[in-house]
Amino acid sequence: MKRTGRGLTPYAPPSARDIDPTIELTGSYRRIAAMSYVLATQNPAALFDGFARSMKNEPACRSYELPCGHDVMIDLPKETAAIIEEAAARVVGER
Amino acid sequence: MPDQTIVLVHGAWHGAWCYRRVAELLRRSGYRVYTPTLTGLGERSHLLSRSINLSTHIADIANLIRWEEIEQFVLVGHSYGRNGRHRVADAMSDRVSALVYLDAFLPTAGKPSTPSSRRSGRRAASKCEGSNGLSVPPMPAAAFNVNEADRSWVDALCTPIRSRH
Repeated sequence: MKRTGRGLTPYAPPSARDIDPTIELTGSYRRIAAMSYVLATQNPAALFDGFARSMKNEPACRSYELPCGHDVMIDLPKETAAIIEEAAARVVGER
Repeated sequence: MPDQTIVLVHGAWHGAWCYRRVAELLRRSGYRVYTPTLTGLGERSHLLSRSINLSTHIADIANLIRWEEIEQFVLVGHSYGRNGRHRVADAMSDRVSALVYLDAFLPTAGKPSTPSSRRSGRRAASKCEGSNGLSVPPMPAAAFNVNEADRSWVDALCTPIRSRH
């Protein structure tokens, strides 16, 4: 934690009770600068093909395909971790 | 070493355990990694009850961010959307530096669910009669085409999830 120089500045992110699940999403998540979508191409359900397609049109989104089943983190952990690291690195690059 | 925090959120029937391999790799690279298990699942499956709803799973993630005092994080979500991650990403968008979807539902602004997810929800609800409407039993790992070597392991660790609420 970066405490140095900040002393005991009160830290107050929105708490769980501030997030009302019955209200509509504001859409502010769309402002998140870096997004990545990973499609598992051997998921027999093909549930997520449409989502993956729609994310290809998002300028902030990088699209990936992994040749494995739905549980990408179990089937291809190295590849999954590399994609997550790439997303994290994009953020650092844009700071 | 990267000074970054990564929060890995699992999908239906899974728990922190599914991210064990990925978390290990990320930690080895120097990231701070959190793998919250949503209430009623995995090592928290003893808490499965009718009081669990979407607010509970929002709180599972939002409270992690609050009490671990995480200022910026990469949010990673797998599979189903009613695990609170969309709400957390929406409410804390200034803290989420990157959002990674792993074979996952996308949020639909203004709509909490899609017609197809409502249909699958109804199908799932019809399967939870054995638990008197409390929960939906896990789908077999083979149905998701988990690699053959890991299927029995995944089946052994998946637990019923609170039915749509």
